[in-house]
Amino acid sequence: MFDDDRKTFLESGCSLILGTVLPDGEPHAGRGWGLTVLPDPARVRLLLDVEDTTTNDCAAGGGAVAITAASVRTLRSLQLKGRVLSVETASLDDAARAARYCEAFFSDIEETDGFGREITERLVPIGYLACTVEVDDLFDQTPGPAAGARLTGSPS
Amino acid sequence: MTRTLESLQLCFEGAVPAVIATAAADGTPNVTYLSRVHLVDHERVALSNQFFSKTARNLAENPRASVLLIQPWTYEQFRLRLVYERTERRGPVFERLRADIDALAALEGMEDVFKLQSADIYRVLDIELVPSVAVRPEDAGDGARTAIEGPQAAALAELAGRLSRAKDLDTVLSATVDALAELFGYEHSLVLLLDEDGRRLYTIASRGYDVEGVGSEITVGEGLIGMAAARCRPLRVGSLRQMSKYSRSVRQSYEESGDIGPSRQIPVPGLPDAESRLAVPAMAFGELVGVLMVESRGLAAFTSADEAALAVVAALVANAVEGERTEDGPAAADDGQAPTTDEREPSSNVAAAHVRFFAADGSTFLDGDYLIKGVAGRLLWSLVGQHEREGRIDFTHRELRLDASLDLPPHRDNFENRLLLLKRRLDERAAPVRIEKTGRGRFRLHVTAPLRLERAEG
Repeated sequence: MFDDDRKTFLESGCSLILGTVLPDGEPHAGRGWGLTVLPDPARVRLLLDVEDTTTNDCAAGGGAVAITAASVRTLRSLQLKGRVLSVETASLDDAARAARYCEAFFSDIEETDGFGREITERLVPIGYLACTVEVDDLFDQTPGPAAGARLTGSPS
Repeated sequence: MTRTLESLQLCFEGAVPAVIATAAADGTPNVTYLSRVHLVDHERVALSNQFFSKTARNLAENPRASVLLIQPWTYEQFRLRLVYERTERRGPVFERLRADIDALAALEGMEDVFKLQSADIYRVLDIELVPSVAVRPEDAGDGARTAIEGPQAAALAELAGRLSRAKDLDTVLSATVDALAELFGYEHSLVLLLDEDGRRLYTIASRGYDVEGVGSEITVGEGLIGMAAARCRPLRVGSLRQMSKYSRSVRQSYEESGDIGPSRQIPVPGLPDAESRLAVPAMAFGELVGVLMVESRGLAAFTSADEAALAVVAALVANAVEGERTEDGPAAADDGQAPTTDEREPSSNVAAAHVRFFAADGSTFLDGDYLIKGVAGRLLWSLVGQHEREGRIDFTHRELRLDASLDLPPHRDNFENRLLLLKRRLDERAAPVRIEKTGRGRFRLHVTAPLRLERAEG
C-alpha cells in the first residue's frame, strides 16, 4: 500500500487532518502531529493532540478514522481510511517525531504561504498521544477531477 | 453559545483553508479541505459545493459536520459543529459564494472549470476554541479583539466632498486615488474605464505603483478585474497566494487529465506580491463604466465593509465619468470662438521629438517608445498634425467629434475618456506635447519641442 514515494510523502511535513466519528454518528475534525509508516504493511503510527478528547475517545474505542495528508507546497493529497488499533501515551521518540514534523510543517507554510513561525506555532498542542491505525483504503485527494479516486495498491 | 460567529469574522476570509469532517451512514468518516467557509448570519454558515463530492454524499446521508477554522492573524483555531439546513441555488448567499468561485477561477483562467453547484447552508450548534500551548481557553477573550473595523462613514463623506468639488474628470480621478490612500489607507489602487465596444478596460488612473500604467488594458472577463466587470459584481480575495496555489493545483490536475488546454497565464497588473485584492464595478445608470481596484500585501486586508465603501466610491466615479460625457458630449454647445494659433516657435535648442503613427491601429510612438493606440492615438495624430500644418493650439470637443480620421463609434463614443487617457498618458511620459483643459468642451495643446511627424501605413 505504501511504496517509497507514498511513505516519503506521508512522513514529510504535509498537513495532517483527521476525521473521526462519535458513537451517535456525529463526525469530528482534528489534526495529526506526525505520521510514521510502520514496517507492518498498511499500518501507520499517528500522533494526536492530547487535549482533543473527542478524537482520542473515538480512537481509544477502536473507531474508524480518516486521515488526509496534504502537501503544503503542492496540495498533493492522500486520504487514508481505516481503524484505530491502539492508543498510548506518547514516548520520548514520539515527542521527537512531533518536533521534527512541526519543523517541516511550519517551514513549508512559512516558505509557501508566508505565515511566520511565531504565528503558526501557536497551533502546537500541549502534548501528544500516539495511535496505531490499520489502513484499509487509500484515496487520491488532490484537488481536481480525480479527487476521491481509490488508489491502486489499496486492498479494498 | 458564548462565542459568536461574528467574532470569528477573519476566519471567514479564506486566508487559511478550513477543514471539514463528515461521516457516511455506515460510520465511515471523511476529512478534506475547504477553500473557504462563508458567514451567513449570526447562527449559520454556508459552504460551496463544487468538488467535495464525497462530503456532499455523506451529508445527504448524515447531515452533520465538524469544521476547523483558523484565524489568520493569531492562528487561533476554532471547531464548529454544524448541521445541514438547506441548499440554495439562487439568491444573495448563492451569489456571494459564486463571486468567490469566480475570483478563484479568474486567477488561472478556469472559468469553465470552477462552477458553483449550490450553496449549502448549515446551522452552527457550537463553537469551540481548540486549545494549544499558546492558546489557553482561560486566556481567550470573546473574539471581539479580532473583529474588523471597516472604513468609517466620515471618511466616505470626506471623499464624496472632495469629488464633488472637483471641476473635471481629471481632477476626480486624481482625487479618488489620493483619497483612497489618505482616508481609507488603500495605498495601491487602479481606476479602469470600459472601452467603446465594451470588450476591454483601460487604466486611466493609479496610485502606489512604480509605473502609473495609464493606458494598460485588461480584457473584460479575464482576471479578477475583468471578471468583476463581466459580472458587474465586486470580487474580493484575501489570500492570493493560497488561492493561486489551490487554483494552480486544480489546473494542473485538469491538464494532466487532458480536460483543458495549457494556461492562458493571464497577467494580473499590480503588486507582484499582493495577498488581498478587491475589484468593484463602477456603474452609472445601470451600465458598467469601469472598475475600481485596490490591493494590499496584507492577508485578509479587505472585508465586506471595505467592499461596501468601495462600491460607493466606484458609483461616485462612474457618475462623474457619465457627468463629463453629458456635459461635454455631442450636444454640448460650441462657443463659436475662432481657433487660436500658436505664434511661438518651439525653442530651436530643444531636440525634435519623433512622433510615429501607425494608421492601421492608431498605435503611436514617441521617440521610439510606445505611447498610445486606438482612438487616443488617432486623436493625438490629428492634433499634432493640425498644430504642424496650421499652428493650432485650441480645440473643441465638438469639432474633433466630427473629425472622421478619429474613427469614433457613432454611439457612446467615449471621446472625453479617450481625451483624458491621452492627456494622462502624455503627462505620465512627461511628453513635449501636453493637453490642458481650458473650459467646457475645450482644451489647449502645449507643444514644447519641435515635432517630427511620421505616418506609417502598415
